[in-house]
Amino acid sequence: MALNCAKQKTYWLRCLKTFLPNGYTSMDSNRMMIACFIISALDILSALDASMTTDERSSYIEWIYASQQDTGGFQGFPRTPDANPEPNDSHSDARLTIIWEPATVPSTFFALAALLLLRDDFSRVGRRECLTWLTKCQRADCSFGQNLNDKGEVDGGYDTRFGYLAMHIRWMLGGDLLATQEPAWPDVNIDGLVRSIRALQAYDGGFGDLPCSEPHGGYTNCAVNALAIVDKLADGIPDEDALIHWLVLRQTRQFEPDNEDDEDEDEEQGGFATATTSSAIGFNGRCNKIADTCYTWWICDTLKTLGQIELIDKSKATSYLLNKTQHFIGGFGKYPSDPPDIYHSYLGLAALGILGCPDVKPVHSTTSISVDAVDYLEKVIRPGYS
Amino acid sequence: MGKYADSPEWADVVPISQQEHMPAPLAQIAYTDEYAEAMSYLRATMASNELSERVLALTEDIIRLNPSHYTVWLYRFRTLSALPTASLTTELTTFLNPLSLRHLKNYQIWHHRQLLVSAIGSYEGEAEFLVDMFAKDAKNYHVWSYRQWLVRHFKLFHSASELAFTEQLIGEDVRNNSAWNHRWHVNFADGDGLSDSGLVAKELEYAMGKIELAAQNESAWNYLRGLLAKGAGVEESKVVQFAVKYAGLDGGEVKSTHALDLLASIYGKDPAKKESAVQALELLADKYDPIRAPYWRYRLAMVNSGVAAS
Repeated sequence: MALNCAKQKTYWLRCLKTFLPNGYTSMDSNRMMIACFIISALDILSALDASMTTDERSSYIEWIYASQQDTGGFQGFPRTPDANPEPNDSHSDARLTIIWEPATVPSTFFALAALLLLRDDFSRVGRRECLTWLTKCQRADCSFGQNLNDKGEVDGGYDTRFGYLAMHIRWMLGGDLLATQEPAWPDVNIDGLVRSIRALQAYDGGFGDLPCSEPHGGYTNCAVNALAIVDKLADGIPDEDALIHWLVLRQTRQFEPDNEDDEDEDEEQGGFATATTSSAIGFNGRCNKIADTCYTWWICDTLKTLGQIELIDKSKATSYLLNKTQHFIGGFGKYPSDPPDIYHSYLGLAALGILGCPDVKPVHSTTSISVDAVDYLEKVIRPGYS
Repeated sequence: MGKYADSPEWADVVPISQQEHMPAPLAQIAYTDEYAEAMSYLRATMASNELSERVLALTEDIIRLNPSHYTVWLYRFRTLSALPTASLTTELTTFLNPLSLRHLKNYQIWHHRQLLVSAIGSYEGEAEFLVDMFAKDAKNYHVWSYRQWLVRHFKLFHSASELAFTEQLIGEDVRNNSAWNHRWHVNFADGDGLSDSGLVAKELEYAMGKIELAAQNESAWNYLRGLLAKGAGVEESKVVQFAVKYAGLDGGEVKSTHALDLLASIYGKDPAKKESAVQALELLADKYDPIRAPYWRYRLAMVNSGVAAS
């Protein structure tokens, strides 16, 4: 089966133009991420321009900017207006709500990526404020967290997602360029971050959320892509052979949850997946788990960043997405015959862009957005910084 | 109209409804009326930074409707900390425990738990609660991550009860990789364990015993490989002797691709054993593990060129 481009576009247009079902309430504080996925998916399908009028495009851009904070960064959902606004003061930060509506590292990354995709020129991004705020989101142990609270403390987890996103914010805003200018602008501690990532490689080769934690496809991807964007792959990976070994071992033909009678059931029962007739290969995120759409992205993309995507059979990885988890109404489910959801639908599409599927735009490995959009950043936005 | 609008207790609060700011917003969600109303009261109490008993009730309501809302949790913890009457232990046992059992995949619940248990300063009752969590999903990443935090925070490295726990879960499912990883964590994450050749030898025996139960179990082989690569005093010849039982070359019986893989790694480093390494990798690529054929051929090319991979 090929990619059903018409249904895929319909699925994402529905996400763009109509209310998302009530089940997405769990994403209420992460709407910026959902917004970015919707716009990026339409871009990967080469359908972005046809999906919106000029007025709608401007409105989307304004909606993103409305979540920007004067002290740097973006929050993940629309800002609560001041209960008693000063006349003519549309963006006062002297509000108490700011305590509980902080800018977050993920929302800032997704806002900037969405603005790039909409070909905004970043002229209204508080670039220096954002980069200054970003340095404060790095802890003494050099890991990054989610946000800065009103007491100046870093909230949120310690895992590699935040370091990955922070390094990409720095790159999108040219923090690397500012750091080399005189007088130098305060920069994040890159060497410290690299050291903190280096400590995460586990005994079996993958990377977990903390030292000696169980390796996980998502955290491994974030670790490797954080290192790649600051050009520190060699410094941050203690044993690259072990990492590659762990990544290729994530291939599996265990596709169905709660059903051990899979097409290659012997694998689970102690035998081997020797059948070569099946054309699909899925990926799990951890050892001895079943395949899941999103791990085709997390694992294949990590191999791509490492320059080793040829170590997997791309046509069989593609076949898993197209023939097993692509849904007939568009989008992708987590498992075969699951209904589509935005997260798996987006990462399924992005994975096709890494695997060379001709029906989608090529996707840039460390960001998951199109190579087109990254070219716009590199050729139009970043040169404007110097 | 609604639970809060009709309540005298909330009569003094002017709710703040969600503003989208723009005619065409992004990622709009069809909220229930119940959630939209509760959130409009939350915005109002957040705006005045009210830290009160009724805020505890309000945040509980919202968490039940959307346990993934990160600032609600932070606001709730700040409120709990500010109220002299609030009991963190009650928060843990009567609010958080049942909620955790209902929402298995949630970051915020476990972050909140870490904050509470740090503030309480004791892990009493935690192991018992986690038994219930693992009964629902024995490979839940958040729960294991939290358990490893307990090990680090309360210095439970080498603890007999933690090791017994991993033994129990590995006994229930020998392929539970999370339990294997936790075993490594308890034994070796403090940094000293790997230089203790007695401990390393004991763990090697443990892994070998579990491989005998399921020869194709990647978790146990990875554990064994980790000990060989990082542990003190492991005799490679002993590992080879064990692995060949599961991976006969020269037409012998092959019971495990992981054994072939390990032998290829070890033989690949020794020019005198190059032919055996080549044979193991060809068996993997052509016969026993063809889904990874491109990788086995890459390893083969490395062995043939004299650059051994892992």
